[in-house]
Amino acid sequence: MKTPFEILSVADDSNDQTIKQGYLQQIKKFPPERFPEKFQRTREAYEKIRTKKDRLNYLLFDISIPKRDDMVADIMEKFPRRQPTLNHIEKLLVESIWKRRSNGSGQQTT
Amino acid sequence: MIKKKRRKKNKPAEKLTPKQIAQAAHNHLGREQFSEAIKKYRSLHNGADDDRWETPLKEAFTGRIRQLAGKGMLKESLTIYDNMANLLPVQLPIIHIPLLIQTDRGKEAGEAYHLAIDSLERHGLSVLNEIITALLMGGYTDFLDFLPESSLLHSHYPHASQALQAYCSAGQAQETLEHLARIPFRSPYKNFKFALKGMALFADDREAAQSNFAKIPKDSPFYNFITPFRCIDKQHDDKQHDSRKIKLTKTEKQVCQHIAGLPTPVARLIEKLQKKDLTASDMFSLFAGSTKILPVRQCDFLCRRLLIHAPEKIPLYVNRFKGINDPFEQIRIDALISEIAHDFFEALKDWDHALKILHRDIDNHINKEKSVAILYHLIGIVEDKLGSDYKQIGIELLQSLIKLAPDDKNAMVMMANMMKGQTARRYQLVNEMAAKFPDDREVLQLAVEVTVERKAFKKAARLAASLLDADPLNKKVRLMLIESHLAHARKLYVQGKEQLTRKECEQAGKYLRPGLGTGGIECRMGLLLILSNDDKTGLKMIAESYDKAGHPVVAGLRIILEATSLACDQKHLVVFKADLKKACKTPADKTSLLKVSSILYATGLEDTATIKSFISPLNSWFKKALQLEFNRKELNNICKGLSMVKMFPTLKFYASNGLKKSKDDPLFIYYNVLAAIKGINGKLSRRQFDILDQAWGNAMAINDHTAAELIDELLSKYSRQFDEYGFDKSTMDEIEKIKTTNPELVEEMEKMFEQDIDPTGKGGDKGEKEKPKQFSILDLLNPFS
Repeated sequence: MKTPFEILSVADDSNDQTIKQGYLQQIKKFPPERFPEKFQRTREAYEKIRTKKDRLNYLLFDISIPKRDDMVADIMEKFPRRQPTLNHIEKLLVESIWKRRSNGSGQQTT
Repeated sequence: MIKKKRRKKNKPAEKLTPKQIAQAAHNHLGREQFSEAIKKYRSLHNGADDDRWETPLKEAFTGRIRQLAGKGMLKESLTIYDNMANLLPVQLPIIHIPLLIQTDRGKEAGEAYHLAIDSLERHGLSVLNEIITALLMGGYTDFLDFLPESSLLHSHYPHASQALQAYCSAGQAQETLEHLARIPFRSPYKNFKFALKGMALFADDREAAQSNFAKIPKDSPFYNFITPFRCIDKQHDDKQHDSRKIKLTKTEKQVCQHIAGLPTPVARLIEKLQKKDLTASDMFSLFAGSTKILPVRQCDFLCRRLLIHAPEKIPLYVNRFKGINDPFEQIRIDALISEIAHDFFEALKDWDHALKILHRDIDNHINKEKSVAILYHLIGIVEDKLGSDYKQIGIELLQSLIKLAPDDKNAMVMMANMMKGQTARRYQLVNEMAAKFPDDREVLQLAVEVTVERKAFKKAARLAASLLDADPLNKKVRLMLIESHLAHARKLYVQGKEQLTRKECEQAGKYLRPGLGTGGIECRMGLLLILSNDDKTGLKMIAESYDKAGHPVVAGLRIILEATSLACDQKHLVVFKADLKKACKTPADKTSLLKVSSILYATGLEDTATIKSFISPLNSWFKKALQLEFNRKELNNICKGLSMVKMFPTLKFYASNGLKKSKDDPLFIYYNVLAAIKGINGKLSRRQFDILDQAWGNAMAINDHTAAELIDELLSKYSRQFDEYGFDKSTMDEIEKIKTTNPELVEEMEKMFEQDIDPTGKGGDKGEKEKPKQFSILDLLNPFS
């Protein structure tokens, strides 16, 4: 789980200006229209440590429970992604023709 | 033995009526218990003389075939297909041909495919072609030998195959796309193309990948094929494919894990994390047990964050990680745990302890900053969680804060606001603030307010004038300035200085602007001018006040109240009373009625004796307005005003109106009782005590603190009369006396009480029976009461 400082890629003892720069860089990297969730997380992190008072409040009184989606995203980020193998793809293709989904995808054979 | 069991199991079914069997079959089908559904529908089909059971039977068969094929039991599926074909006049090449291909009966499949080309309609053939595409790409390439070379399935296969090979040779996205580009739009490989293109783009351009996935229709087998990619990329996913909502097959899970590059224990951890209803304690346990698969620092950080929500895990935390060695950190965690448990007094104690730790090295600027932040936090707790009873603690905390940060204007403003009611101390503080921050508008505005409160109107006017110079558009300050001058003029009038009164009014008049206020200023100024013998200007101002007020009753009431408070002579009062009476002939509208209510409320209790002499025309004015529509808040404001000036008969009407809208509203129950007993000092019956007591409970239950406080205030006046069980204390004393003189009578009464006889004879609602009976035996002892 990343701290707001890590999300904004800034040091723990950064000042307001550095934090703002970090925030702007991150939203440039993750614009809201393309990465709504990452943008939201970046925004929330910035709100938490925007000013000196905010940073103190975060360090002393923050009681928010880490979001599960964020925890999963952080864990997954640590492992490089791979492609499925030919064997996986062939298996998936064959299974896919018989698979019924409750959302109605089973209509294919009726 | 098995046969016996089966017979036993089937026996009850034989006794069922066809309708019951059909219902059972339908239920089985809905639960995807296809075997049972086939049995039931088959028995119905065999016993029927028409084909009405054919469709559901076919559905049950196809469901079972697909179910078994999905598990890889292809031969069994084919057998069931043959059974179906023998029983029902149906041919389903979409099911039959893939089964033949997968069971290595390519030749038969090829023949069936040729027949299907002629028999299937366009859409059906396109679906069949897509299924064959999936099988060809899934490794059943032998079937190509049984397809005509002119077939698109045959001719487009090499491009699709090369694209797939390129994709599987990692990092060949560009080559994959080049091969895919050779597949035309009108190809049975069209949806395979979209799927593979999306997969190739997935790593670098999620949006492009998703737009390709989105082109695949839901009835295509390739829609199922890309499920793992949709699950991995939740960010772009529609909610239907959230990995927590869709049940993935074993292969799909493996592919997800592979795409994400996760080792199995990590994948398991993620799966557990995504479970519903996971508490903070569960999450703590998960991370505390994941130190071998995740970095220890990360687990420690997460567990530390979760610890305050799962205090029972502290020993585990200390055991698993390095523990919490810093005493400040220990007490900080304790304080937050107390806050989460809503034990705010304990939290205050913990934070106080934390402050003491920081105070040991208060010259360290970090400790000082932390102390200030903690003090602000504590003031917030006192204000928001402990309420006004603990205001003094808040003031003391603010004093400590100002000692640490003497230039913290915000803390000083907070303190001045908290000191409301302590005029002298507040005035002293505000003077210090004005000296420290002479150009600060917020401080100056506060200084004006407090100076007015201190009745130093001349000084207030001077401060307000300097504030208005700095901020000429500030309406609030302008009003404060005028009010200060008028208050000073009033003071001068009371001292008999008529000329100076006129002069001060003139000063106030300089700051008047059209559109400022709603006539209250003009009313006060006009009246002061009339009383200090400037009738001409005074009457002009009064006329303006009538114009601005919007309703003559609002203006009339204001004038008469102001005149009364100025101890105006009878000559003028008679005229004002007559004016108000005349104004009451103008029907009320909602705004004016609410305005009048707020004016009445603002009069304060001490004026009621004088007010009574002229408010009588208002009774009928209010009653005539009963047909107007008011919401709860508005009705409450009206009732507040009416109860303040003791207009009880009218209050009764409005309280009843409120109860008509909401039968059990504790607020209107309170006003109803208050009107019935004619004020807070009236005589409260035992029944009314019960009603109010119940209303108080309801108010607390629905968090209506206003109603609860009002009821509590009223009930506390009668706490001497009724004990904590609702018994009339004086009566209980009488019983004690009678016990010695006439014990039989008391015994008889107690029996009646036990039998739950309503001694009042008035009955009561059923809900009352469930409560311990709250009654006075006064009615029995004294039947004339």
